Parts: sequence; structure tokens; C-alpha cells
Amino acid sequence: MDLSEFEAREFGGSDSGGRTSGRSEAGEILREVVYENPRFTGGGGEYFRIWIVNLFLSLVTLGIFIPWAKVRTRRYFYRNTLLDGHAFDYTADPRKLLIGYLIVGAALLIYGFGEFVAVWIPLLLFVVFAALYPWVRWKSLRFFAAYSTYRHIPLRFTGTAGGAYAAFLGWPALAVVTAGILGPYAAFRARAYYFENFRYGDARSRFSATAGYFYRVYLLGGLAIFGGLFAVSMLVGALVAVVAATAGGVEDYGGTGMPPLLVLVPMLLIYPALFLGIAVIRVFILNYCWSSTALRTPAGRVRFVSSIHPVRYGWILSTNLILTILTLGIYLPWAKVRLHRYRLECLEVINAPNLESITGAGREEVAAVGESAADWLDIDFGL
Amino acid sequence: MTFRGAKYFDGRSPVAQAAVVRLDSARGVAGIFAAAESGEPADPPLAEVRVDALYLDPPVGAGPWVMRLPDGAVCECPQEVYTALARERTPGTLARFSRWAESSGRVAVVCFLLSVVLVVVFFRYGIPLMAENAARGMPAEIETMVARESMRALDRTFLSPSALAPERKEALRDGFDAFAARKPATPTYRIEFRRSRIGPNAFALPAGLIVITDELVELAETDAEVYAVAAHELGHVHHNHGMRSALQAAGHFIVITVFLGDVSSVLSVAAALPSVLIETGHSRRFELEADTFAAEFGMATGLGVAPLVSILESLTDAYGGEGKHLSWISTHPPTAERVELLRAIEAEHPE
Ligand SMILES: [Zn+2]
Repeated sequence: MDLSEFEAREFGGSDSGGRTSGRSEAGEILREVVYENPRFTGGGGEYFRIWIVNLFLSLVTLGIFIPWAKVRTRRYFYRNTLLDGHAFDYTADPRKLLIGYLIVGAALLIYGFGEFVAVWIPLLLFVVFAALYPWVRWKSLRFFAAYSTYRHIPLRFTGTAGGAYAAFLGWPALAVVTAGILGPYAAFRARAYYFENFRYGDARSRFSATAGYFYRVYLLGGLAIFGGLFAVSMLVGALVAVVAATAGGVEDYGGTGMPPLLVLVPMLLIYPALFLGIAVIRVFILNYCWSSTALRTPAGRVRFVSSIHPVRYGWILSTNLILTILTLGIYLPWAKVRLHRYRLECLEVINAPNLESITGAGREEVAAVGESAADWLDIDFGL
Repeated sequence: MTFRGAKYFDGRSPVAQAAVVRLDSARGVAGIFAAAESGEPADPPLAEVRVDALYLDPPVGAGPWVMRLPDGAVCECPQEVYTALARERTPGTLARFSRWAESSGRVAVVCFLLSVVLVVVFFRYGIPLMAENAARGMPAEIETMVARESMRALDRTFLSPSALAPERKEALRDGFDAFAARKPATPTYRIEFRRSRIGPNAFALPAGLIVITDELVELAETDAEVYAVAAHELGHVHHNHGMRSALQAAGHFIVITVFLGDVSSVLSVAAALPSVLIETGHSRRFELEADTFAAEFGMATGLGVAPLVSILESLTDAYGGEGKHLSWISTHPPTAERVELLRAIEAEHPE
């Protein structure tokens, strides 16, 4: 928020609608400043057809097509997203992803069944997963970058494995030890690990954020979430009591567990409440991080202004969810396109044509195990 | 053949060059030329590549048509180049099928309907069948382990040690054993008693472990009613329902995770909804199967069907008329339906 205001003052205002230019009022170098939002040229109807064909082929091939489906989906979104008249592309090889999927699938299978065999099996897997998590994230960032291209030049991720262990295990562990005092700082380190380490050709990203903003957002957001959760749990408690009183206990004779309705009620209430709270925190952090990032190209800096509105974002997420449930999933492709569009609408790129000046592009082959693990675990790249 | 309006990227620089593609089908070579101001190709060519070394990357949806050269250069070209080349250098069958299917609304509708049918068939028949086979092949040691772990978990949460007198428990066990001995090919079983926090209840765990709560023994007006419940649970053991439902639940979890994996986590909450409904449908079927077994057990051993009918009715009363509310989502079929089934089986055996 602070930064976009600063940006507006520095560059003399901006029009987020399309591409505009203005003169820098800063003085000495009178250079043209170009503002532009990436555009998505696809649509929900078109994506629905791709989605349903992917789903059908995945079902018919008993899941073997899933990596192809994932690549096609990402490719559809990338190739139809234009910045400065040029498209992005996603060039990963689905065959590489398949191996990773099989490994992760086997682990998930053991995790799912392990619980029925002995309690320690999921526990052991959890420990192994925690130890591997930073490595997986590091790998997936490298893979994701190496196969994401703009103007047919791949991005590169230059973070190290050590950096990943510090960002995703070291600092979080310290945050736990200090009873959360270092929590926002750990979150800051994790974000910095992404935003500092991207490269486009020889253009390095520079990240000028500070931890202070993270402390403010987490403090206020944390208070709001706890308040909301408290209200929801009171409501759920009351509902369970009422249902238990009218049903006269658990009528199940032969099976185990509670009536499904009692499980559903808290799930349907607590999850969205928690998710929306976390989404609001993420929106503020994401806006701040993007707005603190610049790419240094030979022709000058390329900067970003992200202005996602938490209420509008929450509205889109929740209406997407409701419509998807009401249409038994058919609305899903439109939901995805709608969210993607909104995110692009809120990301302004300053001086995108400077990206044409970079040199020193190279391509590297990256193994896909990490990428597929990250896909399963629903890790978002903050794009 | 000459095609104008292409864009050439050399793969090292982000600069796009306006280009012209010229296909020489006699030599099997594609030449890419910089476009002069006039739009005519300018010599020498930017690249010259054998057609069979080109990798054609079709668009997904309405994106650009991409032609990849072996040295990492890329040419975004008009669709006509692609059409002309595709005859000689076709992309993979799957990619071609996807592209064809995606471009037609009618195919999408067909795919949609087929997907729905496939999902329903898979959940209704595929997973139960796989679970049944997997449960049959399950080593006895694992079944014992599963039963032990589940029992431990239940003892921690819903159950506490039985308060029945040891002689009473012995009498009930012996009484049921006497009936079971009269029926050939009964599965091995063991009956345990527990005090419960969830009222009169009984359930069957894998490895033939049958648990009956003290409250159920107290609710039963005769010992025959307890035996009838044990026979119903023995039906679950006979059909291996415990293991099968555990495997089915795991199967549903895996399938839903796999297919909705790319969906953001809010939507996986929605995914839990159909899963719960499916689980409910399956257990209704299991209950009817167990009732059928219990009725046949009753007819074969002289225990009869009446004790099961009367305990079912007592249970319904104890829980305040189960059929009236929640029955559409409940894991058990309405009592009336179960009693009707029992009576029908009784009628089939004229004795
Ligand atoms: Zn039963």
C-alpha cells in the first residue's frame, strides 16, 4: 500500500487500465516511463473445453495423462498471457514430471494406508517430509523457472539449497523456539528467498522489502483470524449440541464415527474462515513484495506495482467456491480464469520494454521430482 | 511456398525479428528469412533447418503457433505454415487428439458426459471391486495389526473396559459359539465387550474382532437378541467389510486428491462433500449385506430372524425414531427397509 502511493508520486500517477506513458518528474533524466498490465487473452469457455478434455483423458488413462494435463493447463495460461505484446510460455516435458508423480503418489499411498497399520508410519513420513521440504521447494523453484519463458528466454532461479534450508527450516524453527516472536521475520526471509533470486538473462532481481511491514501485517491479521475462529467455534459447538440433543446420540450401529453431518458442519465453516483470513494476510504481503521488487536490465529498471484488494480478492475466492459447489465443479474453469484475470489486472509492470535489452540467456536441464512434489502439495509461487 | 508475418527469436536474445518462412518441400528444408521493409525475404537466411528436425509445438487454445529449431531458436508463425508442415511432421497422437477435441464444443460436451459416467462407474463399481480384491489379498498379519491399532484408538476415545460380570460374558460367548457351530464355514471371530460413551452399539473390526457394548447387552430383552447382533457383525466379518471400507475410503481420498490436486485448497473442502455421500451409500449396502447374512445364519442355526427384528426396533426406539430425520445422509438404511428384507429372507426358508 505504502509503496504504490510512493510509486504514484514518483512517476506522476498511473492508469491501471491499459498501457500509458508519462514523463518522470524526478528531473535530470527525462525518460519515458511505460506502465502496462499483463493481459490474458483466453477465456472461461475455451479453458472449459481444455479442462474437460484433460479430465477425460486423465480418467481414461487411469491418471497417466495427469502430467500432460498439468503442462497443457499451465501452457494455456502462459501462452495466452501477454506483456508488451509478447507471450509467456511453459516448456516443461510431461514425461519428466510423470516419474516425479509416481514417486510422490507412492509416498501418498503409504501415508494414506500407514495410518491403518501403525500410528508411527505417518509420523515417520511426516518427519522425512519435513527434512526434505526445503530441498523440494528449492528444486521446484529451479524447475519452474527453467521452463517458464518470456519472449522465449527462460527465467532462472539462482537460490541455493543452503538458502532454502535456512529460509524454510532454519528460520521457521527459530520462530518456534522464540514462541513466534521471529515468525514474521521468518516469513520475510522465505519471501526474500523467492524475490531476490530470480534472473531474466543477465537481469537480476532486487528485493528492497524490510521485515517491519511483515510484523505489522501478521500482528493485525493474526488478531483478526483468532477473533473469527473463536466466533466460528462457538457457533459449531452450539450446532453440535443441538444436533446431538435432537438425534439422541449416535445412532450408528455397525460402523464407527459420528454422523457425517456433524463432521461437515465445522469443515464447511472453519476452513473457509481460516482460508479467507490467511488470504487477506497473503494479499498484503504479496502486494508489498511485488512492489519492492525490481529487475535491473541494461536499459534500466523494470518494476512492479501490485494492488490486489483484500475484500475484492476474498469476494472472488468465496464466490468462486460457492459457484463451484453449486455447479458440482463445472464452474471450476471459469473460476480459475476469473482469478487469473484479476491477479493480472492488479499487477502493473513499469517499463516492461526494457526487458528486450537483456543478454546472456542460457538454458539448463532440471530434474522434475521437486516440481511434481510441489504441485501435489499445492505450493503457490506467489505469481 | 512463402509465408509472411512470422516472428523469429534466436533463443539467446529477447528481441523479436519480423520474419518470412519459406518451405522447400523438394529439398525438405525450411528457411527463415528476416523480412525487409517491403516485406520481402532478405538474404542470407537467419536459419535453414531440415523439416524433420523441426519440433512443432501446437498452441493450447488460441495462443501463438510455435516452431522450435534444434539450436534453441523459436519461430512464432502463421497457422498456414503449420498446416503445410503438419503433413510431414505431425506432433504426438495425444497432442493432436487433445487439440482436435478442445477446439470443438460438441466434443467437449461428449467428454464431459463420458467423464461423469466414468467417475460414477469408477466410484460405484471400480473402487469397491479393487478394495474387495485388495482386502482378500491382505496378509493376516496386517489385518491383525489394523484391528489392534483401531481397537487401541477406540479404547482411547469412545470405549472403556466392560463392567459386565466375567461369567455373564462367558455365557454370552459360549451361547453364540453353540449357534455358530451349527452353521458350516463360519469365519473365525472373537467377541469383546466394552462400556461405551456412544450408547448401545456393536461393530466389527478386521481380523474377525467383534465388539459389543455393555449398553447393547442391557438393552437386549433376551440373549437371543445379543446373538442376533453378533450374527449381523459376523456378516460384516464374513464379507470383510471393515477392511474393504478402510481401503475404499483411502481409494476415494487418493482419487479425489489426484484429480483435484491442481485446485486451490478451498476447493478440496468441496471435494470432501461427494466423498462423504459416497461413503454413506457404500455403508448402506454393507449393512444390508450383513443383515442378509444374519438372517441366513438365523435360519440355518435355529436362532431365527425374530431376535434381530426386535433388537432393531428397540435400537430405533432408543435413538428416537431413526427413520424420521437424517435418514438420507445416515450410514444406516431405515429400519423399516431392513425389517422388510429380513422378513423376505425368512419367507424364503419354509421351516
Ligand atoms: Zn452393521
